Amino acid sequence: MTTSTVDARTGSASPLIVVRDVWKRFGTLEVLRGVTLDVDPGEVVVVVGPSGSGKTTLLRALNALEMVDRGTITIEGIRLATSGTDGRPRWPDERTIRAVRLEVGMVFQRFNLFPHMTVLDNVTAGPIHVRGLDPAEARARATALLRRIGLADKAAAHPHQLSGGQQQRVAIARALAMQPKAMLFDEVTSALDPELVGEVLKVMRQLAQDGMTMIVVTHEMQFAREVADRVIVMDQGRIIEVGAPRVLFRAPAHPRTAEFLQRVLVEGREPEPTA
Amino acid sequence: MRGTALTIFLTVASFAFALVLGLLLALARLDRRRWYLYQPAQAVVELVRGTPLLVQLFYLYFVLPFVGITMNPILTGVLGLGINYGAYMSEVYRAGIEAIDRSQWEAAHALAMPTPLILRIVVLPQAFRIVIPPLGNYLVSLFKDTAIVATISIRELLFSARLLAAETFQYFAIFTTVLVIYFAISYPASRGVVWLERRMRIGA
Repeated sequence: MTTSTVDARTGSASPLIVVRDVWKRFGTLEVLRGVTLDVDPGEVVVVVGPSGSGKTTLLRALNALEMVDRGTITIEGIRLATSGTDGRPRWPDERTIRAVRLEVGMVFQRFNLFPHMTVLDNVTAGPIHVRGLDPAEARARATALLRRIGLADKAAAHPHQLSGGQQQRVAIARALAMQPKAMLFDEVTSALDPELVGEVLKVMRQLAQDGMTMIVVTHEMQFAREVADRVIVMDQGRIIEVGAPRVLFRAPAHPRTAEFLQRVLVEGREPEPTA
Repeated sequence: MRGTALTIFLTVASFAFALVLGLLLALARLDRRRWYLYQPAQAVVELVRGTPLLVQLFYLYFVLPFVGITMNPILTGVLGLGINYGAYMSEVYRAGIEAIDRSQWEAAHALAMPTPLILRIVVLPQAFRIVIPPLGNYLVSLFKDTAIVATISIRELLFSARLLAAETFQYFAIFTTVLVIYFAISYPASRGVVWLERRMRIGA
C-alpha cells in the first residue's frame, strides 16, 4: 500500500494557519508523520480519516494542547512551533501559547463544560477573566450568543440539566465568546445520541455561513459535503488526499480514501474508540 | 466550663490555620518542576507526618525558647495543631485537585486561561466539594486531639477536669462528664458535615 504524503497548501499569500512538515510521536507510536497544510481566512476545512490517523492530534497541536516533535506551526503570524538551528523544536513560552489560544477556539468531543458554573457563567468566564471584559458587557454578549444557538432560556441552568446536544452548543458559544479568528471542532458530534447531532451541525453550518475559519474533524460526511471548502483525508499520520468535497467524494484518488469512504457510508457512523 | 470554651476556641483557630496552610502546601506540591516550592513543602509534610503530634508540641513549647522564640501556651497549641493538621489536610487537597479530570484543565487552557486562574475558578471550586467529607473528619478528629495540649499546661477541658478531679476525688463523675461533653460536641459536628456534603452535591 502506497502512503505518499500530500501537501495541503493553498498557495494563498496570507493563510491564517500554516503547518509545515509536522511530526509527533507518543512513545513508539508515530501519530503525525510530516503534515503540511494551510488554512485560509474564512475557509472551512473538514478532516476525515480512520481512527488513529492523527486527526485529533493535529487539531490539538494547533491549540498547543500537544507539542510537536518536529516542524513548524504558525497561526496569525505567531510562531507556535519552530525548529531551532539543530532542527529540534523549540518549545513556545507560556505567553506565546496563550496568544495563540486567544486566536483559536476549540470545541471538544465531550463538551468539557465547567459543571459547577451556570451556562451563562461558562460562556462569560473567558471574556471576563481572560479578555478583561466588563462583566455586564460580557453577560450581554453571552446572552446574545445563547439566543443565536437557541438556548437563551437555559442561561441559569447548570450543564448537567442539559441534553448532550444542548451542552455541545453551549461549548461552541463558550469558545465563540472569546471572539477567536478560527474554530477547531474535534469530533463534536461523536459523543451525541443520533437525534441530537442535527442541532449541533446546524449551529456549525450557521457559523460557516457567517465566514468563520473552521477546521472540523468529523465522520459526518453529509456535513463535509455541504459545508467544507476542502476535505482532507488522513491515514497513519499523513495527509493522503485533499480536495473539494464534490470531487473527492465522487472520485477519490487514493485507494485508502475509497476504502474509508466505503466503510463510513455503507456502515454508517464508524464505531469510535476515542483516539 | 471555661475549659470547654477554650477547647472549642483551640479547635476553631487551629482548624482555620490548618485549612489555609494545607491549601498552600498542596498548591506548592502541584508541580514538581517548581522544586523551590515543591521540595520545602514536601519536607514539611514528611517531617510532620513522620513524628508524633505530642513530640511536635513539646518541641514548639520547650525547645524553641532556647533559640529565642517564646510563645504563650495557647498560641503554641494553635500553631502545633494547625501545622500538624495542615500537613495531613494538604494530602486531602492534593487528592481533591488531582481528582478533577484533565479535560477540565484542557477546556480552560483552550480559553487561554493562565494556570492560577484555572485553579481559582475551575479546579478548586470543584475540588472543594470533593474534599468536604474528609476535611470534616479531620475537624472532628482535631477537636478530640485538642486534649493533647493539656500536656503543655493549657487549661482546656481535659486539664481543667484533671485539676478538679485531683481536688475533689470525684473521678467517676468528672471524667464521665468530660466524655459526654466531647461526644455532645463532636457527634453533631460530624452529622453537620454529612448535611453539608449532601447540600453541596445538590448544587453540583
